[in-house]
Amino acid sequence: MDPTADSADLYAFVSPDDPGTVTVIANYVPLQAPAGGPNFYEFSPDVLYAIHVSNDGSARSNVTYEFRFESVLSDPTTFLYNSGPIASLSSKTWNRRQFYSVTRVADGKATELAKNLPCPPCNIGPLSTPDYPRLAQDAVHRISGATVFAGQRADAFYVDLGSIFDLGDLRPIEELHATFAIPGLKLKSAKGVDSTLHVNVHSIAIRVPIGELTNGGYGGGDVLDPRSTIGIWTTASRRAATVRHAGAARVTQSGPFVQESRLGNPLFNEVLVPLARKDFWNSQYPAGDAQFSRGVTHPELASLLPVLYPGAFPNLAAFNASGAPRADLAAILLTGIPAGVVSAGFQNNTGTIMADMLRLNVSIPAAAKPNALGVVGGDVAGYPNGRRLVDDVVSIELRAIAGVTLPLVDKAFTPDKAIADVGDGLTGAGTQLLGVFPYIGTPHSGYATPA
Amino acid sequence: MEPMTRRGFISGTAAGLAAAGVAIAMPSQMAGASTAARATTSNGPATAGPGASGPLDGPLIAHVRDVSSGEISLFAGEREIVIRDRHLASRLAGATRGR
Repeated sequence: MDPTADSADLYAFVSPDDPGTVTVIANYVPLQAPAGGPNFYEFSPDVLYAIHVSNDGSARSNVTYEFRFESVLSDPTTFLYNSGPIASLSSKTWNRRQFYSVTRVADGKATELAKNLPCPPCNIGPLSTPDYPRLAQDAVHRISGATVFAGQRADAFYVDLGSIFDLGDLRPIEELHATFAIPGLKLKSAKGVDSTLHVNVHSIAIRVPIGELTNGGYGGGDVLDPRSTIGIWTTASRRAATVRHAGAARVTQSGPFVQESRLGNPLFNEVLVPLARKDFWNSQYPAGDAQFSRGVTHPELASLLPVLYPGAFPNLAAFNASGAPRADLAAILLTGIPAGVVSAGFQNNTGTIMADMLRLNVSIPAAAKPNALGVVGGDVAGYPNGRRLVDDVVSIELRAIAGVTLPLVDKAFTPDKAIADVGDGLTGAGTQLLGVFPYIGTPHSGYATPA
Repeated sequence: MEPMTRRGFISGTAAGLAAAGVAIAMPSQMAGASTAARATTSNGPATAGPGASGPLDGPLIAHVRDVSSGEISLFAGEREIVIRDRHLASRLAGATRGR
């Protein structure tokens, strides 16, 4: 996957400090080593980045915000990103900068909201970017009908990639792992290791009034009103045709934009879509996700857990053996949760069309004290009702797949005791966030952060 | 660059073709060929895109999808125009063989 066209993470939540608005953050260019010079990370000028919102149950985009970037080189004779401290977004010592436009597409009409908006530089170090927070704040732009930011940020996603993708090793319960009978290997339960604690990403953040996203401009208020729930996903697209000219360091591109990646729910593609279908999945639109539903209703990982952890998941193993579909996961990931399932006063259902979208009920206000386990933890303002930066989506999804949400649809099912410790053992401690837009934290400095 | 005629498009590209794809500037109209335009929207292919007429501004890339049926995709601006022209496809394919 090309990192600049990799839809890596998507967040959507009612803005905690501006309750009449929704904030959406789409991350690209993941896993950046902060000391990424001399050619520092940036958005790709040939990628069309987009945030889509479906508000009528169709799982098709009713409102789209498009972001197009342009790179500008002030001095082509130097290899330097900057030739002195970058004191402001117009600093003459800053050689390689990016600008972007924002276009809103709705009702078949495209409206350019702004153009030539400057991005902040990457966070290089005390000599190059001595007051980075101010540079970033200057890159928060209030435009027609929205507030936007696009640039480098500290990755807010916390996950123990190194352990989980080492054959499903969950450190908190790894003493229960079968270990494939590898001679001499003895695993002992441990806390998680945050693989993304010191990496940066590139974020596109937009905050808009709720009525800009909902059906008919509904401003929210009634949680059970179908207009309160919107479905969100992000995409990255490139032109259909590209010709690379040998010896000329030049390409010719033409044709419509073709989708290269998308993202709705976290980890959907990573965990629920087979390797052979990932590129195809990325090319598809949410409205057609019924074709991928078996990966949700019969998830491979649910079958693996009782095998990887013998004796730890007997109830899950018995359910798997029944062959019954996981209606709980289908509701969480593909249709949204109907009213009355979690509680009488909660729903984030978008109808019967199965679609991987991040569903947000905009009538549920931000929680004063968020629980990182979201709905599973009794906090309906968190994932899978939208996704906040603090949400522990890895533990939520692992526990859901392990069966913690099965009783919502099958009262006879009792979750296995091991579920309480299922997760990657992380709490998000150390993830730095902001109390104001764009909320996602100041990127790690290349100077101060080991590679 | 001056607009080219269809005949000029064929003859002008013959020498430079190394495969069944080519980038060249030309008018968007293709006389004598059946055409269908599609532009990508946020929900998938549509049947027509903006700017379906008027002078071409920017590169045009042609992809001969099927020589036998004459199906050729023309990528121009943010549109893909599909034409069916067996004669043109055959000429282009022949050009790759030095004919």
